[in-house]
Amino acid sequence: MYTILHAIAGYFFLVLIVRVLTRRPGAQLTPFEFVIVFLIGGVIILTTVGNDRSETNSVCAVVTIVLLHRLVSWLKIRFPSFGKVVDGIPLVLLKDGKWQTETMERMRLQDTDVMAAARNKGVKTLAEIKYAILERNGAISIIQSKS
Amino acid sequence: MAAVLRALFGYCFLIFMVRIAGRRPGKQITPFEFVLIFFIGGVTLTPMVGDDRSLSNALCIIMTIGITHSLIAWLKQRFPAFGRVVDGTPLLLLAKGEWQVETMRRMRLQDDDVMALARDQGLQTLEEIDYAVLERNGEISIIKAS
Amino acid sequence: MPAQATKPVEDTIAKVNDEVAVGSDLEFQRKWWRFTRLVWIVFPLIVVADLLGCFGRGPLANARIQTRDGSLDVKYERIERFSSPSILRIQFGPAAIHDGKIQLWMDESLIRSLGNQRIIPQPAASAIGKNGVLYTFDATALPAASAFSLEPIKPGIFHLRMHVPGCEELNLTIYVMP
Repeated sequence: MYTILHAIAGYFFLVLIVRVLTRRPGAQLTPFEFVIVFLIGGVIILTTVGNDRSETNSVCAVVTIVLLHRLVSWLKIRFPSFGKVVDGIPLVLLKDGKWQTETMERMRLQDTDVMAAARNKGVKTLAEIKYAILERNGAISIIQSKS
Repeated sequence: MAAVLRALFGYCFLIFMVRIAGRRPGKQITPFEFVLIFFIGGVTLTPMVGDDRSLSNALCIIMTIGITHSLIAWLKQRFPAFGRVVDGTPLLLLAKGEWQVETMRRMRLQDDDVMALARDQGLQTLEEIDYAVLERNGEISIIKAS
Repeated sequence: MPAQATKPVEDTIAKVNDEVAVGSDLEFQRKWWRFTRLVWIVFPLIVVADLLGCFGRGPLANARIQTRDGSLDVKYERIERFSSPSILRIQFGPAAIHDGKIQLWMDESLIRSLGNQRIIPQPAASAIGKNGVLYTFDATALPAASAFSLEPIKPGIFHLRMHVPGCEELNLTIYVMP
């Protein structure tokens, strides 16, 4: 029982940490961010399992977490405002030739990051970009100005 | 011996769980999914190690996981039916102007999800799409109308 | 270098509308969807069962058994978990105490399978024999109890027998989950 409660609390706490810490999860975490997430995550994992080292305990914990994940997924669809809290919202970085400096600063991004995403699309210069949007999952979407 | 069994079970269990949990469409992993995989992975590995913190145990577990992984890869190649169970199958979402409603509903997708990816490829309206396919890894492939 | 083995490209991937090779298998997918519905029903059942203690560590797992002659009153977990600590408590009755000593014989599965770690308090003496151990505790007056901390070393079904010499024997069936 303790494991299940701990798993639930741990899951939400981890989502919070990853959300607050970064908008570039997975392969795009900087080494520093990666280490932090791993350390914090590791601590939560160990304390969730606790002194119960049986398979039974681990299976129950994982089943709980997966159910929780499904519940949160469903909640995100049903209550879009909840989705905003859990996943974040897309943010505009560049609009009509003007950088949204506050957003850039807060998300700790530079023009080089935006340009890297643009090059990925085959865009050659910053001037060709009409909009640059930081998506919820950390990817940067480029909408070119048609000329 | 017990460690080998646990490692085998743990690996298969994890694959099964990730398959069941499903994923939102898109190439990138969201923070949300990252947490899920990380957490369940960590919780699964703990009983594998148990109270045996020796290097031998670690190597034994790692080798079991490696061998199981190769074995499953080989099985997928040899028996396509097995591959379907483990990886899933591509699913048609949109065909010649007709949404495959059942698939969309069951995969909890909306037309907006498909349109977002179409926009990514430079398309502007749904009419420009001939076929939209949900790939096994969650990506949506758009085939443009010619 | 030997030539690469080749095979001509055949139409192996199923087409939609005879146009686009998608390889979609809706038949299979429908079966899969049915299967996942089952899974989503079973999972909450597993969680509830765990909370209730069906897999150990919960209200349903706690058990209590007594001898009719009042010598032993044992509180234990009938469902244990492998490699996870738990406590087995024994309360002794008037029939158990003789000349300031309480003797208790426990089956060897206590040590061999259930992984007894500590006995609280330490018995004054222990003697092995008859596939078990005979513990002798110094006792002053009732009520008197002792606790055995367990950490099962293998999963399975075990029978733990115990008795105070001269009194009724108890046979506990303990299931150890993996």
